[in-house]
Amino acid sequence: MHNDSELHFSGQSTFVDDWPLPETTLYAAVFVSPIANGLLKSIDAQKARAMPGVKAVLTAADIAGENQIGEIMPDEELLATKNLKFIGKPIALVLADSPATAQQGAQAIEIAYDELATEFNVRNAYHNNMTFGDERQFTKGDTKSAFEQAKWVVSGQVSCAAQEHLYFETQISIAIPVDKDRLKIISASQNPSAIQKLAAKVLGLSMNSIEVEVPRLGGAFGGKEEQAKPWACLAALGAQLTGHPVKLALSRQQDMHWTGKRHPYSADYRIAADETGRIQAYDVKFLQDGGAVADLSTAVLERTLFHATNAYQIPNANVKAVSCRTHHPSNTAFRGFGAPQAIFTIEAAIDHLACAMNLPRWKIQQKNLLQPGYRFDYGMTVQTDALQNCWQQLFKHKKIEMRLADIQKHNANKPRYIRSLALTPLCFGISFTATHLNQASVTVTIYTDASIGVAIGAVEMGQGVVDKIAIIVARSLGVSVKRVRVDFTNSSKSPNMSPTAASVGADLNSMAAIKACEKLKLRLVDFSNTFYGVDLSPETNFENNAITWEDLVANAYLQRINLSEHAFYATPDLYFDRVKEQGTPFSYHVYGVSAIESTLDTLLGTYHIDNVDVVYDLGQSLDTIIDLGQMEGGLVQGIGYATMEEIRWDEKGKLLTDSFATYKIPDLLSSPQISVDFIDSPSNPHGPFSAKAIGEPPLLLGLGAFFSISDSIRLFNKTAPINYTLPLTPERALLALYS
Amino acid sequence: MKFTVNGKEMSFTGDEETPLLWVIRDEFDLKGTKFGCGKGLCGACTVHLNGSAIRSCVTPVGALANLSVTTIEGIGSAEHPHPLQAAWQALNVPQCGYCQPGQLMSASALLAANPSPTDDDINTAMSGNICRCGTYPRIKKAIHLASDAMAKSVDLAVEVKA
Repeated sequence: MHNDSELHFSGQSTFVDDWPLPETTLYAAVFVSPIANGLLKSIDAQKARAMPGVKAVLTAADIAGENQIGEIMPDEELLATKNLKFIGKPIALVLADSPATAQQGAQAIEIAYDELATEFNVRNAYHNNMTFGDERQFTKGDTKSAFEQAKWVVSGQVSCAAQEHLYFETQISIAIPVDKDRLKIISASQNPSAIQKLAAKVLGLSMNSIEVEVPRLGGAFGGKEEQAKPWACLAALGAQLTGHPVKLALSRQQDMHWTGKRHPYSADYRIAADETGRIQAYDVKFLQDGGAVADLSTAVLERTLFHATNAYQIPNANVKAVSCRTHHPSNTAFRGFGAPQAIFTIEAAIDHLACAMNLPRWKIQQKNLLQPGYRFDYGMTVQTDALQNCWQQLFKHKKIEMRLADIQKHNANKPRYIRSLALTPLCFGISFTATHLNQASVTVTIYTDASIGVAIGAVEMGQGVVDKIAIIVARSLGVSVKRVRVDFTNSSKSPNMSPTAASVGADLNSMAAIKACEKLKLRLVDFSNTFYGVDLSPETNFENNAITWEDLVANAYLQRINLSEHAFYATPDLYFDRVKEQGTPFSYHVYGVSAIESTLDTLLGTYHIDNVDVVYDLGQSLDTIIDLGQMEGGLVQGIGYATMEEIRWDEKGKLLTDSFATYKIPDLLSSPQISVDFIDSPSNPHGPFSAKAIGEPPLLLGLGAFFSISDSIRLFNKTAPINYTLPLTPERALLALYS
Repeated sequence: MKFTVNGKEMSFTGDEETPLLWVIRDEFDLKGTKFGCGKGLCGACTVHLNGSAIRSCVTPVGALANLSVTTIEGIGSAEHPHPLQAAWQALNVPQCGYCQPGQLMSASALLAANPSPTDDDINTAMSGNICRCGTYPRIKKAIHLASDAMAKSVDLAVEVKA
């Protein structure tokens, strides 16, 4: 049960925008670069400063500390001094007594600049050596001789477009001066400790001067992992220099124009199979459009490498990937984190192979599914037969072969509405691939009134981490979940926290919470046995015990027993050697298979995704209702990515699709019937009570929407060119039908 | 200018062009109604005007003289939820929760006008309320659940709490 649900349905849940603020609060607007590449020559803020209501205009010159917020690479100024690298790069901050005045102030700023040549094409950027970091390469076996000996070889290109996060709550931050050199920041961020660190750096303070709190997020999907930081640091800068609380919120259009998206990719693949369809070799090279600054691009790229062969065993593989610099706003984390592009590419390669061999695609997929004992190119070994189980259960329980036969019959006379069903198997590695991030600390406190508070190092953004932790704590202590409340995420209560990302927020924090609760419970049971002279076991449920929880807690307090416990968890046994490109980057893998059925109107090119059936390896779910919600939502987002969500820019790099009117995401009308079966895998020592992660993988299971529609196109037009370009919009479908 | 909000008479003396959304949130301190796009395209700011669902972010407050506005705070509460709110809780509809007040306001306007909507009716009434978390399957189910409960006079809230 979603703890927040009651607050959400009554409109009482507090988001950053709802935070109560004093009358003295100033509102910030950001003046940004209007060009995608150029040199800033001068800033004229005289008119803005003279406007009634404008209190201050700040530029890079006002920064007391370091003007640098890049983390993986130091290539990102907070406020531009000279290089304007993308449309939306902050240049100046206007502070005024109302949001409207601040925006008017920003509009009154004038700058002089020299415009330079721009590059938006990732292939050109690659050829011009515009890259972030070195090219990476994972290899297995001997692809050269495998390609020479194989019966079937096909090759081609894949193109994956950007995807806009479109979290409903736009980027927003509040900074409140609390004391001399002490600030509280309330930020809509997945990464509060990074904001604490960077704000301290920009302000010239130490981290112990900054407290960052996050109540909850109105959606994030990766878009608030790194890209909440400029707005939080700017609000903090304004608060430091004016002594007033400062609120900075982006409008929807500003957010869409200025922030990064899912990375567009361009890839070249070559795949080989024997006469039965067994894959012999796979060669792929990914070019990633990282945008203007490094941000998380190299980390995203790494996950592309790990998921290049998706759920298939391939004896010979050669996977290369490189992150390229363009003049788009910096692309960033987005649910799936480089895996969707990798998985779409190998699914496209298999589709191409199936066309060439004149075999149903699912037969090639089935023949090559991962089996226990298979060793990935990066060194890990498949531990379970969960993927095979998912595949078999889907076929059996969702009657796949019968439905495929029905569809074939329906399509026999080439009707106007052609139906198709596409399967997508999935293998997704769980853990941050940056090993050091796989840590969490949690504090569980029993208050003197017997209620329980929990401070966690994860941010609630709709994924249900708060509820999962509450369930874990209640179960571990042996009390009702109604006694447990998880605090708003706070950098002072849960220090040095990792971003809530990589689907592991619930795993890491639950494991730490279990450790804290075990210690607390043992202490209380020991106390109880001594104090009451009874013999309680550590499994005692205090809700139906002779000694009540309230009485026990009250007495423990009076007897000076510590009622608070902090625990730390670091995922064991993880390492990765980036020279050898070998190691154990993941604590475990999750597996699933989806079947996506669609109907294409061959006259108009429009389509509907009718049904999605999924079988997913969830371990022992902590809360199947929450997990099912993640599955439904992730599928819808993945289907949007594969089909309708299309970003367009003009030749100068200005975003054209900057509203809900021009950037279409799935609505109620376009969302399919979804049916999900979770299989229980017997044990998962790396998950809390054997649970498994579910944040990102569902999005990947939506990619099959592309192949479902493209199958129908090919049935109508046998000579339709093979074009693996995401998204497959109705416009592209229509062109393919009649080309 | 005077109009009612959740049954209470309220007055506003500022610029008549101010979107109702900001008056509700900033002047009347009713924070349940959310900003999503500012252009009437996403549904997060949906409220009722004399019972019909409207987008408060594109409705100038000057157009409201003597009319009646209902916000999420006015259709029910945690203690006494609207049947839709009870259904929302029973099926655990919200994920991040940000768009949900708007979803509920569109759904409650629908049920007031059409107590037994079909799937098609729901699609038509609700397709302007976007949810990026993708809670659509549950929204649809919850509207049917509330509609059935209202028809049978079943109090879902009691069942949920039990």
